[in-house]
Amino acid sequence: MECYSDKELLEMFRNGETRNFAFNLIVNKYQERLYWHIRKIVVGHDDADDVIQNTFIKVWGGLETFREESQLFTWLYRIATNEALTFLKKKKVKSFLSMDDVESQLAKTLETDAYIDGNELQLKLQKAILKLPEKQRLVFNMKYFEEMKYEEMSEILGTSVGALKASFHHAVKKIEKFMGEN
Amino acid sequence: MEAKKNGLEVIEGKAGKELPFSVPDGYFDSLPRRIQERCTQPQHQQPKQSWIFALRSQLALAAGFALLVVAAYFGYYTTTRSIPRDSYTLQKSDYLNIVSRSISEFDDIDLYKAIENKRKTDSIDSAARTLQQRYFIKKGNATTIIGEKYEEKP
Repeated sequence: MECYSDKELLEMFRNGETRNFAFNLIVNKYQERLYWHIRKIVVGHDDADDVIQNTFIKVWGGLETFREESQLFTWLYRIATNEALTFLKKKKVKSFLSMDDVESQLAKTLETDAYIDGNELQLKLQKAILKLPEKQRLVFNMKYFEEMKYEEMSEILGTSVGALKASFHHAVKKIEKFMGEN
Repeated sequence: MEAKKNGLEVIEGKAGKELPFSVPDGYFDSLPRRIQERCTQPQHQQPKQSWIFALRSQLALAAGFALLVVAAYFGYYTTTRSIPRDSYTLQKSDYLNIVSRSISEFDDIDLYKAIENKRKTDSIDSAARTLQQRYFIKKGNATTIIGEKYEEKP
């Protein structure tokens, strides 16, 4: 597949004739990164599948008005993150659960989902991550697994670089303690 | 910084950076097509929901609260009625308790005043009359005559 830059893809999308083609290329280019980002938040595959589809439907609707003030991938990440967090909040409202209960439900998903196949220590790390507050969880996942720069994370999450560094530091300490204790 | 690095190294050394997640075979091959289908299909007209349906969670909460208030109201009155009336009246033992607790609060002046007041309301004549009445009743004498005898004249 020919590799287009984000700028070229956006120009193609704005052209009515190549709109569908350009969107298909955008999905192909970013689907995996966004899927794994979402999966780390919602844990279960089926939930991640729902969220990624909703994310790209939002992208389809909003790409026309995307003003390129930020990078395309930052904008996509922001939508995906919001969709995943909204999904968890809806889950909480539907089941009359508190956020803590949602997190324990996610921890159960780690044991029951058909598409979980890591070793014991990898699962333990995921359980430790689920015990973190929402913001620290996001920051840890983005830094540790995706090796994202703090500046990019700052744009996506709308938080200062200093606050992100502090969140990551606290997250590492808590996870290290959890891994040591258990 | 060193501590953070050590912490990270510990985590990485134990669990690595791989995720314990997988996807069904060919998932990422079919995802763009499914997304494209959903994006390009005509949007189904959402059936218009009534305001009751839209506010169902708030209504459920309000109904639950109302139920709680009603239950609390009936619960309160049921428990209040079940308390026997006798429990509100003072018993002899209560009186003794109160007196024994409050006796220390009396001083000599209070005691003197109490005796003085008693003298104003009670009289030795009436006490004697009561004793006499009791005596005759006990002996089976005609109480009506006694009553007439002691009846106060206007």
